[in-house]
Amino acid sequence: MSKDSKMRATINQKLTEMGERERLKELLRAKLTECGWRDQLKANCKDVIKEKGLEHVTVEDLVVEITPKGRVLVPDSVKKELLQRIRAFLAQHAT
Amino acid sequence: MKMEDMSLLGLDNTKLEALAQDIYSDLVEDSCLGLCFEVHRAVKQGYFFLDDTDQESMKDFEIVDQPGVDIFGQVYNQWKNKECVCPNCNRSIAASRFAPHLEKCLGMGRNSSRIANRRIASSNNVNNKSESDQEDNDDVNDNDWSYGSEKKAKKRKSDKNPNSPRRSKSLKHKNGELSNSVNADPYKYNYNTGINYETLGPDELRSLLTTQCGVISEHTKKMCTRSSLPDADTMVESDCYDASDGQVLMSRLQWDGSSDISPSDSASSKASTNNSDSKKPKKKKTSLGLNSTGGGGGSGSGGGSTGGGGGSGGGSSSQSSLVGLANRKKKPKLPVPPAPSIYDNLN
Repeated sequence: MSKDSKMRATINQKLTEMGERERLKELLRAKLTECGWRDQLKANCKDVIKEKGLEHVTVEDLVVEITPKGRVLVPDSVKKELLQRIRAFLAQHAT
Repeated sequence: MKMEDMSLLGLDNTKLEALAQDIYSDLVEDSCLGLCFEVHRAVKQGYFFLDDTDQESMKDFEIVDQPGVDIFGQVYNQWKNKECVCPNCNRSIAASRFAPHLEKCLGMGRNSSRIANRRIASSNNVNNKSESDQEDNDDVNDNDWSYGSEKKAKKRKSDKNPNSPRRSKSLKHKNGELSNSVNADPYKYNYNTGINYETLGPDELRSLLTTQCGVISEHTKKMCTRSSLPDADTMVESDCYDASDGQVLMSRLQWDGSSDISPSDSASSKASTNNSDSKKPKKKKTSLGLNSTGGGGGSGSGGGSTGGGGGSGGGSSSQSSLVGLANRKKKPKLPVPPAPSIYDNLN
């Protein structure tokens, strides 16, 4: 619905403008590093690189391989906390 | 109402939730992409595999999990059974004890009592010049890495204190010697260990105790050689002594100090009171020399007689006994008992 999409756009804009988006990003990055998600994915990257060859690996190769795994591997606690913060923001700022 | 609110808001919870989920997944994807870019850059720049060790080295340092060996593959008690032969004494020594043994054996370590051995050796042999030179070198080694040690080493022997107790020990083992008993120091202790009042005759005792304190310490078993100083209080009282008291004291000196203290004591004290009643107090200063030195001598005699029983307690109480005796003269009505009181304490 266009209204929804308008709403969404507005909220996203607000998120960015208020700096909340950046804050959430940093929070997520820190949490993922802390829980070892990053190192796990790096190991996966190594496998991909060895598979594809050091010289010829492209960003696309990595992205395609890594992103779905990454999404799955995020721990539940981190996910919950982030969602909570987002909801709080929406509750506060959604008109 | 809620529905109205929601409609007014234009969003419902499900939509909000969906929105939240979308935002979340965007964030996660951002992180993943960030990681991918990082890794790709590292690969292209050539530093991605830098922190890894190559396989060969990995095998070298692999953790070992065998029995009898630590994780590095080293054996713990590898040198336990091995024995070395000492070149000096030709004994076979265990490897772990070899170094300390060499230290002692060659006389070169810090704790090898090299100086003591050297002294023994030099006292046995005639003093050669070459020998003393070598010994000085040893002294240089003794001080850890200091260049000024040579001066210190040569000074050492002359530093022996001529007045140290060890040196004078041999001089002072004289029992009952009176020549060295008169000391300038009033509080210096005699080194006589064997002084025994029972063995000395009355004359010796008299002369000894008139000049010195004579109290035998309980702890060191030594006779106090403190020269009796004229004490103002005791001097006055000492004037009251006469020959009879001197006799009483002398009898006490010869008395053995057996366990039956009180009966004999009361007898002697009764004797003394009888004597004192019969004879008038004469203010003499001569009588047996118990005059100005009476304070010291009398207390000395009291101490001497109680030497068999308990010397240290006797020392202080003898003074009081002296005063008690004197008081008896001045105040004849005062009952006898102060003398027995010493012995009561002992009992």
